[in-house]
Amino acid sequence: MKNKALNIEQKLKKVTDADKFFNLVTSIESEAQLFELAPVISRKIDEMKIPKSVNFALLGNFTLDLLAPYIKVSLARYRMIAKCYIAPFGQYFQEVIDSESGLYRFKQDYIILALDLRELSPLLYYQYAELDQADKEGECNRIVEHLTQWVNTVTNNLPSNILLCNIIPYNLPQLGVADSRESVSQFEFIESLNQKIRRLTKLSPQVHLLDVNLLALQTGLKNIIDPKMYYMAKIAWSSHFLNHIAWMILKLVYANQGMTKKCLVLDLDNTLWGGVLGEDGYRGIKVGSGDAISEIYRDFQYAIKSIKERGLLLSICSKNNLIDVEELFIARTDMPLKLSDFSAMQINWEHKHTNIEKISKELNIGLDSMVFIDDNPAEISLVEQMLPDVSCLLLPDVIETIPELFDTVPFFEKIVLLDDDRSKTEQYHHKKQRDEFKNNASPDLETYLHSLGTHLQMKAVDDMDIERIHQLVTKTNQFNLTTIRYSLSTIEKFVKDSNYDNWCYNVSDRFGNLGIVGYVLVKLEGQVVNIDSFIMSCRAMGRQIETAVINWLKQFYLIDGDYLSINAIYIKTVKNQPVKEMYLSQGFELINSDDSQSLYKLKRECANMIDCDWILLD
Amino acid sequence: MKEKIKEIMAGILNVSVKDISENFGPEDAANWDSLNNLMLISSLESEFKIQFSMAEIQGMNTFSSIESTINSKL
Repeated sequence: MKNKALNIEQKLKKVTDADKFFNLVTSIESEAQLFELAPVISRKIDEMKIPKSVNFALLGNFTLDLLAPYIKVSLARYRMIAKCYIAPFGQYFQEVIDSESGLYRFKQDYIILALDLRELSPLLYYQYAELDQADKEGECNRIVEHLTQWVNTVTNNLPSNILLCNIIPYNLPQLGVADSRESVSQFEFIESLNQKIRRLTKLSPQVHLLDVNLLALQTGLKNIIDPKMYYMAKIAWSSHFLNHIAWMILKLVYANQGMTKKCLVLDLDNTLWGGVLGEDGYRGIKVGSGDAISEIYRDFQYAIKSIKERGLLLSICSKNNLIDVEELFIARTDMPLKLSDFSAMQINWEHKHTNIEKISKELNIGLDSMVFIDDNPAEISLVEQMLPDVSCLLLPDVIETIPELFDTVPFFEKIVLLDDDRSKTEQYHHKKQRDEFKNNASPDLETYLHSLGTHLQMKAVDDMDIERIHQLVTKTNQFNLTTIRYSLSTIEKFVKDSNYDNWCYNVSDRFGNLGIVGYVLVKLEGQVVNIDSFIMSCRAMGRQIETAVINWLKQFYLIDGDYLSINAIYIKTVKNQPVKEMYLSQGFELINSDDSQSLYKLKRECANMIDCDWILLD
Repeated sequence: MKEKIKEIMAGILNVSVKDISENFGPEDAANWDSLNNLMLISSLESEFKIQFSMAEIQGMNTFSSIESTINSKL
């Protein structure tokens, strides 16, 4: 971990290109590391002299200097450069009145005003209990007048946006537990003061509330202060808090700069619900009330609905049969989301990046305004590589945190919600245009497949594997060539029977070990072998693992072994359409075919290896 | 641990690790003002998961005094 930090630090110091710099910053995953590298990042930003920047002026009645590096790091995470001007200590009023001040020369996009009640009104802060009602209200009005004057001076003379902080009552409650019974409790008083501050945003669209009081609640009053810092240097806020404030500022800026995303592209299985529709059926997938997993996904669906209420469009990109999905949405009325909530759907077996491009064209929304959400790191990686403009979010492994996913990114913030936003989905219903999209096999797809680093391990089934094999046999619908549902005891018999070979295979890639994902049951009949069952878990599909498996079988039986041919059969079901032509594409010859099944044969002399060198055989 | 302290100091004060001798103090680094001193304190607190008191901070004005204060708290 130490070496990694050093490496990034060295790279940060050497980099000169803005793009590479941003890539480095976004690659830093841990908060702790970001914090450690903040001074280096901050310095680099100043050095690089990138012309396009978001400029902040920090004004207040306490020391705000330390907020600057956090703002810079926060914005750099989203590829924006921040420059900060810090007004001379305590001179927040003078700076806006004096047209020759540093503030007027700096040309900032945002002026942040942060006022500490200890300086603003020592009377209210330290002597609250001693004041009578009239004095309290008098002080409150004085503060609001003072702030109104400040805001008006800025809006009359400068085009900058204002981020106005409200008041945090650090010493609440002075009256102790009796505060709640007081006719004007201190807590209520500060609340009413903050409400009046909130109303200042109505003075002009330039004025925004930076709700540090809410943030303090969320973070914990004890966590946001560091007494020694305040007494030594009038730094009211702890580093921990500064970090959170910088994040809130980023969200405001993101929304204000019009960078808000326009469309969510959602996977279905293990994203909108727990489980896989193709394997568990619409009754078996988990969403709704009654158990932990169902409620987690239900709450995530509610969160998605609220994103839709902010004016984003929802779309689906899933590897499933359309008919299964439609059936599910009709049957599962306990789900918060309905099919009509979605403005576009690409539900098929093609690669997701192709589908996302289709959605982009159909909705006429740029790829850079789209956010793709999936639980599968391989899919995320594919889209990141093939469509770098699309923002990708991988669902966390810790599933109970899934409903909070949208709080971790600034993509969905808006300055204000309009009625127009709430009806965006209906608007698109009327404007839908379907383009014919030409599917080009991208030469970069192979690069992606190679980048997965897939390893395949073929082995004979032993007693320890039988339960997993049975699970595959009973639950797999899509990659299942014959769909014969053998019982556990039957499978045990096959394993012991010398007339059968039972193969299973394990797949791992750079994201981890997928475990045993496939089973091949081969019947040995004299000089010929018959593939009785060939089953693969759907999470391993899409990278031609079947090609590698069949290559192995060809090698084992026809090249190294004495058999003359491999026979195979495809039995059609509603769900196994994806593998209808599989044997054909592996070089097998079609012998016979009718409505319900197809027979194939591969003769020894025709046994050729098919190239799939992105899969490494262990 | 010596190394880590030097790394943190080097990052904040914009000097190189090898320049930091035992007696390295504010006179040796142009950037070592009171504000950067507090950033340094913050970083050290975060790295070693300790909290310095005001009194301790007042005594931490060279590399060696910083190191010994941290040691005494671990």
